[in-house]
Amino acid sequence: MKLKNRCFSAIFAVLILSAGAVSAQCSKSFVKKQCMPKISPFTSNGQLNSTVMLAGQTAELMLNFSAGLNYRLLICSQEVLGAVEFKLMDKDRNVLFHNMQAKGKPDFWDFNVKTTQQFIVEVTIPVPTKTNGIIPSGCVSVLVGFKEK
Amino acid sequence: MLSITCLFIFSCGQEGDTVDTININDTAGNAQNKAIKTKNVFYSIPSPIETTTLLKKAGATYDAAFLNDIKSASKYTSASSKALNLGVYGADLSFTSIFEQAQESMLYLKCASDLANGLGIGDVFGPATIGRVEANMKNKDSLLEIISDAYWTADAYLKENDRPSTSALVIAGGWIEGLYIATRIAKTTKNDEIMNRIGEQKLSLENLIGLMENTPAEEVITKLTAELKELKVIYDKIEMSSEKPVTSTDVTTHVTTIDGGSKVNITKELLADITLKIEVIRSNIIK
Repeated sequence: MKLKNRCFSAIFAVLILSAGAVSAQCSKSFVKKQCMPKISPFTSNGQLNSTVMLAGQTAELMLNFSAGLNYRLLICSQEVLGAVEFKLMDKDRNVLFHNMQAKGKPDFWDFNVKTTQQFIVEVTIPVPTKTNGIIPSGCVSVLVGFKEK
Repeated sequence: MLSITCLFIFSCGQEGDTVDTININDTAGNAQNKAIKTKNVFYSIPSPIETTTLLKKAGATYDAAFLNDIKSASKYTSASSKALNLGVYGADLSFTSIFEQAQESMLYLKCASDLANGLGIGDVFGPATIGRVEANMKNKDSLLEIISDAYWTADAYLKENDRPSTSALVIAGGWIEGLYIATRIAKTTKNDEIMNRIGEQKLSLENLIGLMENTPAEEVITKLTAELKELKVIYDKIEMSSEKPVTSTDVTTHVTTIDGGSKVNITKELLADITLKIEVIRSNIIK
């Protein structure tokens, strides 16, 4: 009996995790519908930087920003992941912006640079206080938009 | 996912075994311990639209002679040459559009459409996109939005369909053509700001090499990466002064500006070397 219950629980958990994995696919349509509208009125740089991430995971994006343009950096993620943390850092990893320390914990940041610079964007998925036995996973997309100053 | 599934299935026949490696408790600390601690690193490269916008701001003028011949599109028969030249024509299309050359833009869009068809992503540059371009031919901003959207959709499609090499080649082709056009303009105008813009591509080149090295090592990727590394050897000779970036926010506009960072000092000799090298790399792509 104990074995049967255990098997049932295990199979049930696998089904839940499988369903989670399917819904966590980083589909083009998710980014197009949920994220791209938020980059407006900036023009996208034409590249998709998306990945499926788990709670506690970190990803980094290396990018350049040029003097003479305004930029929007947008971190777009599925709701299941909660409030995603991101930092913009220079090459020496000095933090220039940390969304969790900004008012309203925004998912984007608008800025410009006086000289062309290379930055690192570090994205971290929060660990939920209650997991119900399942580590959340979902799509995270980093979008960069620009417009003339 | 597979390993978790295997552990569960294995646990069904092993009454005495525990499965606590995936039986996560409802505490944040435990969940964090169980989370996979890998770090993904991605690279983003400035788009040709971005680069051309900066060139125009710096005083560049339009010259069709800088662009790849539209008649060449039919020459590209291999998947890799189609991908690279989809990037090249994308940069040319950005150039014609930013300089509001309506007729040329339609011709370059057709080239991009043909190559995209050959790569199985024809819908991206299909009749709907061509119709939108035609309808917005006199509105530069809308036109750039449409082109940017088309290239974003192509990139997303390639990545979604597990074709990262094709995606990387399109991006590389666009960056190479953008730099080639910039060197041609610098050669004819002797414009200092454009020279500096070319020097600043040192940072983009590092990211492009990172992107290529992150891509499955197919022969064409390996060969192109080697060529880009040769270009980097020249770029490494450029002096860059660096200051710690400092942010300040305008209280009226709420726009944040990041000061400091890197300043380039590119000599005429190094510009000549870059011009020569990028010409060779580009020639191998468009031949």
